[in-house]
Amino acid sequence: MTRVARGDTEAFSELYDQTSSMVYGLALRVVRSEALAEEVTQEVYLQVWRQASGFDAQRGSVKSWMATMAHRRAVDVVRRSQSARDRELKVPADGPVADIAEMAVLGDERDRVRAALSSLTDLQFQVIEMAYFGGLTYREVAERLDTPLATVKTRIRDGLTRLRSALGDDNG
Amino acid sequence: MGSPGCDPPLVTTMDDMHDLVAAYAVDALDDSERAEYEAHLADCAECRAELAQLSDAAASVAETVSVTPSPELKERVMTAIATDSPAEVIPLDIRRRKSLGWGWVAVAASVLVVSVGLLVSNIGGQDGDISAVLAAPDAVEVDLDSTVGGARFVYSESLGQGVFTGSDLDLPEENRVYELWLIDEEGPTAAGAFRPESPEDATVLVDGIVPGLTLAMTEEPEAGLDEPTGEVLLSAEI
Repeated sequence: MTRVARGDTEAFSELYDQTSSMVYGLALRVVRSEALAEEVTQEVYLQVWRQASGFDAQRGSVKSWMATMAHRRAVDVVRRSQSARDRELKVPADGPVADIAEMAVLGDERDRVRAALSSLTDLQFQVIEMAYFGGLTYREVAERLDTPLATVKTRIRDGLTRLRSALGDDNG
Repeated sequence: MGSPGCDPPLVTTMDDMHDLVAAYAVDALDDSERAEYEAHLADCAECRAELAQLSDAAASVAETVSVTPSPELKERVMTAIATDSPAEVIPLDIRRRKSLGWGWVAVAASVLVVSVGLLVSNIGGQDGDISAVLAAPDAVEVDLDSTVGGARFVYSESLGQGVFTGSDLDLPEENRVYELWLIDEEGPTAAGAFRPESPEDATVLVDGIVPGLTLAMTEEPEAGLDEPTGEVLLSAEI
């Protein structure tokens, strides 16, 4: 990252190779269009290139930083497009859980995350999936599930906290 | 147990804010709540600490959906960065700031300048905040379209704050002030009034900054009006 910050295009190229599957895959999962996902990916890397000097390793990993950027952009894209509403309507309420259960498992990291995800309750899965991959606001999630707002907020929080601790345990 | 259910509204609001941390981590807030939460985040170390952890957890979920993009995408990205130097974005990183000698150096190093001529109420203790915005890893400068001389605006999305600095501003007429506005779909909101005593002397910390807003400045007869009455003297898309 230090090399990228100095304008080293070779280092940037390596960073791209290591992270582009995650960035593009996440964007694609959220925006559900290859063209838009490519656009989001390109914007993320331009942002990384421009802001590399501001990256602070103490605040988290490069991947976490990039996933956060990619997700924010992808969500903004779907919320701003008309198709977002159509797309949301097509997501059945019981879809998300099945979706996560069917996720392809490739590589150690995915195994590790999948194991951690399996420690969540189905209800926690569901809200995180709808919010994180569906790009829905927690209000929309609550509406769709006909569940009180406070419950949805708590489920997202408990789910992420549990996920975090499951991943942490694995590290330790 | 005197009056259950009668908590002061402020407490409820703060609790609500803390509760939003996880929804924020998965980008599940709408634009206005996001802005509100980011403003809260700037002041709440507890939330920042929790957010860092929850964001890591959320990001790990991204690993599960990896898809290799086409080789053409890499070519496009590499071409794009080849024509886009990182130096085009103001490096506000402290390590580099000294050697660059930007006008901003003066701003960051001598935030004492701030004290003169400002009428805004939220000035108390803002010196540290100004430095924080200018030193934020994600600080970026926006292009200002100005009819009243030089001014710059740098904001940090993560802090939800920006710093407006007049570098060669025309002075407002006597007894009048400049007012900054943040404009969203619902219209303008006053973001701080000031009266520079000299062209160099205007630094204003602006809260509630989120991308998508428009920053504008007008000249007004007094500070704190509900909506602008003067012409837009400068504006910028954030």
